[in-house]
Amino acid sequence: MARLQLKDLRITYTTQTEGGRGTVTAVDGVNLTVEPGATVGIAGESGCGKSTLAVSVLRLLPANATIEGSILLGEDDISTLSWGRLRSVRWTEAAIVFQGAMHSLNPVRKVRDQIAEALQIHATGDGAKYRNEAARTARVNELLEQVGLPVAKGLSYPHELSGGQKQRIMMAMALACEPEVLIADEPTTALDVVVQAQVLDLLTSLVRDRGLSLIMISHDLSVLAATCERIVVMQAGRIVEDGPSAEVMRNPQHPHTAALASAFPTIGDPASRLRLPTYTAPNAPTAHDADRHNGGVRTDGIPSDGVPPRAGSGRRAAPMAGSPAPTAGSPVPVPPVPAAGAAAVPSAGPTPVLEARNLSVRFGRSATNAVDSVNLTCNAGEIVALVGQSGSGKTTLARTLLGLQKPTSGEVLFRGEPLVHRRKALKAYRRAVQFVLQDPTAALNPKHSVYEAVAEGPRLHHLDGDERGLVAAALAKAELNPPQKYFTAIPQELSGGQRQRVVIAGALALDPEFLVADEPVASLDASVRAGVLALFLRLRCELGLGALVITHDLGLAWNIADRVVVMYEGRIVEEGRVEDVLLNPQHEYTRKLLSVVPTSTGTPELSVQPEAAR
Amino acid sequence: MSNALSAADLVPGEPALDEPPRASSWLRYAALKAGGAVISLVMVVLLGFFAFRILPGDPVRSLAEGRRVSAEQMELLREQLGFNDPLLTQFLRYLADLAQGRLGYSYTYSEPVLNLILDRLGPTLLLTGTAALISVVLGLWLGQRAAWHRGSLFDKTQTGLALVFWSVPTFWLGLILLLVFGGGLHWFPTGGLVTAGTTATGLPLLWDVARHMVLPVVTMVAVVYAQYLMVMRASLLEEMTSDYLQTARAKGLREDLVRRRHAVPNALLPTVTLIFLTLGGLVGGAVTVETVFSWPGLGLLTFQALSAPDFPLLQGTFVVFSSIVIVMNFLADLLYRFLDPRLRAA
Repeated sequence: MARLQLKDLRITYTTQTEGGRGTVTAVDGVNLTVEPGATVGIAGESGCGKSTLAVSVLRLLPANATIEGSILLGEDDISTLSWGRLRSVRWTEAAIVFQGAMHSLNPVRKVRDQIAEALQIHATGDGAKYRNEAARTARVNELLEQVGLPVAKGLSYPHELSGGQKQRIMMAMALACEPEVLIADEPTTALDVVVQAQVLDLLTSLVRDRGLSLIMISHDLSVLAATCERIVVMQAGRIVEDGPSAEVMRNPQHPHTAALASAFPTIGDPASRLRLPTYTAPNAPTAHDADRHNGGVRTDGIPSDGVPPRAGSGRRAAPMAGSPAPTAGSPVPVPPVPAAGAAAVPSAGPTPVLEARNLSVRFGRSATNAVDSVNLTCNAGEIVALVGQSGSGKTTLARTLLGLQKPTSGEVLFRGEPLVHRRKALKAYRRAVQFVLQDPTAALNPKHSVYEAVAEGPRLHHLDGDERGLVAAALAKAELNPPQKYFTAIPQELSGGQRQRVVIAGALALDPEFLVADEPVASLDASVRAGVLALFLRLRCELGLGALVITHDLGLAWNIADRVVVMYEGRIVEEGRVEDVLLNPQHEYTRKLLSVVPTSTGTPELSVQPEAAR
Repeated sequence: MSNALSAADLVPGEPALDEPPRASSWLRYAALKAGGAVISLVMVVLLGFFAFRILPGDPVRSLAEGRRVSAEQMELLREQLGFNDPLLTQFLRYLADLAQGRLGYSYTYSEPVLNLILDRLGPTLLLTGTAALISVVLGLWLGQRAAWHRGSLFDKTQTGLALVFWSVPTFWLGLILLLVFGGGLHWFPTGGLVTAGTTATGLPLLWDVARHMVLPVVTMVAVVYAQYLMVMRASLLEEMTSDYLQTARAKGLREDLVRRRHAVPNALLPTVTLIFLTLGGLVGGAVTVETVFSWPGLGLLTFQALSAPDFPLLQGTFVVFSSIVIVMNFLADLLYRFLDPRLRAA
């Protein structure tokens, strides 16, 4: 007897548009059976219907949704259940671990009250003893212990907890009424790698100890491979692949699975080194190496954000259209840059653009330095990945390099000259060194058209020349073609990847010498991520534009960076060439970071850690 | 894998055993806000003196209106009231009086200003307090219902109606009510706090006062409840898309519990501040209503002081009205911090 059975499930949303009523099919004929104790991962990009599928198990759908087919949870058909019966099934038969790191907890109530609330409303039948407050208190304490939190933490409000702690609270809440099925909807998104590993670890052990069925939703195949026995891949509302995790990862049958898998590279795999589905750097390891190492995982196309897949993955020679030079509009051959050759850039007489000398930043009366005596050099035409987990001081370092934060001691050098914190000097500096932010949706003014957003920089800096030409050239460089098509669009009408390209175009419009990008792909989908990273790689190879990319994602460093700098508690603990650092890490912390990256081969390394048996 | 660094060591935000941060800075915060309020009060006192000296009109001339007064007598009166002294001397006298708790001497009523104000404060607080309570409860209740059933007939009619009332001039609405229910139908008395010449005490007196209150309270409520409704509605609409409501539903809560326990407490946060900010203003807004219904309160007193003009009296009412606004703002600051745990530790 299956715990959960979806039979020919179709979920459609009725939408009201100017052209009258329309329907959008979110889930399209899905059949899925989950046995007791099974762990199933559902993978897919945003909009593929995986979240709709997850919440449909408890019929948590908005009023405009229509369910066809059946959802059998135990013996109940959820799709036809009465509201009263449905409410009693919710949380007792199946519970959902939402993405608790963000906003899934009520901000004005203590977290233990929120856990107790679930016990209280289901205090009937077996749970009747939880009508008693003392019994509830005891149970909540027990749950907190099970998720590895001190009981005192229960008195906290959500904002007083870290992302990982909030996620543990979500898990305690989900386990409160002892459900048979646990649904985890992107449980580790927005958590950094180390915390992600802890949370996955805990989730795995809780599910295993109780013999629960787990359905885990994620856009990251490697996370699923590390946690689930079986992986189901969804695309456009349909299941396109379904099989044992190891099999799906090793030998994906559907091109979409392959695309998802390649978006998160295996560190050490030459097939993904300086090589992305849409662009390959001239100095990438040879194709021969690549073919030898991967069993045909690579495919030639990822449906990316409006950028047609390049035929083959060979070297691209065509210069980019347009240039911000005085003769804007007419294609000018891109000047040869240090990166033109296949030789590695840094070795060919590096010229430092941006340097930090003994830089320290301390906030207020805090006892420790957020950035502690950091020495860092970024050379022209070089991509440097600054890696570390949240709280390591990497964002503070970036802000200080950009002159947005005054250092407590030490100095920032630009082309060998110390950075002066005066308006005029900073203005010229900021034109030369541009900033790309993490969340393009928040970085763009929702009321400004793409044209306005890109033209703002040139206007502020009084750039000469034809403004339309400048904007068009910048958009073209960011691979938004044809540029004119995007001029009047507002951010809301663009996809996440397109928005990030607009942000990058805004930076490129000023013809900068260097880019500083803070987690530029952290909020983007897998395939879009690859597209945006390819853009960084291409800008560096074809225009010689260097970048300092801040990230917690070591795969990103492997994909595009020349050098990697590892930061831990405000200090730089290791730096060097990507191959050296990632393949042969010297510092304890670097090794730790590498060990918690979920590997795409699904090594169960995470679940055998001794601390898992709590 | 090395065990030298355990996973827990690597997470700076998660020490194994620490108490959640407690509200230790409460006193400091309250003191800071109280300090700000005191500074505002001092500014009000200073302004109160000079603002009314700019008003046109000669108080002595208007005092003498309709009587036969010679120029010498008027000059003597000016001398007695201190108008011939330099402005600075008058100001210092005002400050000295204030320090002793005196607000001056009204020359139209020939009574200390403080006594006048204390006499009138009760009726005003009774009127505005009742009106405020009713409009807050009514506005919040209608607002949250309208938001929860957004786009329904209830939502459309209630927001429409509230906006119509809000746009109506207070004095006009007051006069219409007075004409229809007071003058025409004789359901309610047309003015005053009690029936003139009444000797009733106890319950009959209360009943008399209540009947007198109906029309002025209805007028005030009608004009102000719309803003509470609109803010509560907007604020709840914003909360309604929040993820934690989805969590609450998934737990199996009924819709009305989802609303009452989770959505409304969050939506109330921005609303509470607004309520307190407007409460102070409500007292000042009583001028029109009290004048229309000849309610013997501060508003009517202010109106009479303005038409004289009676400087000491105006200064007095000005200081009282402003103090009420400042105190309300202070309370709003304290209450907001109490309601929102995110602000307590900050």
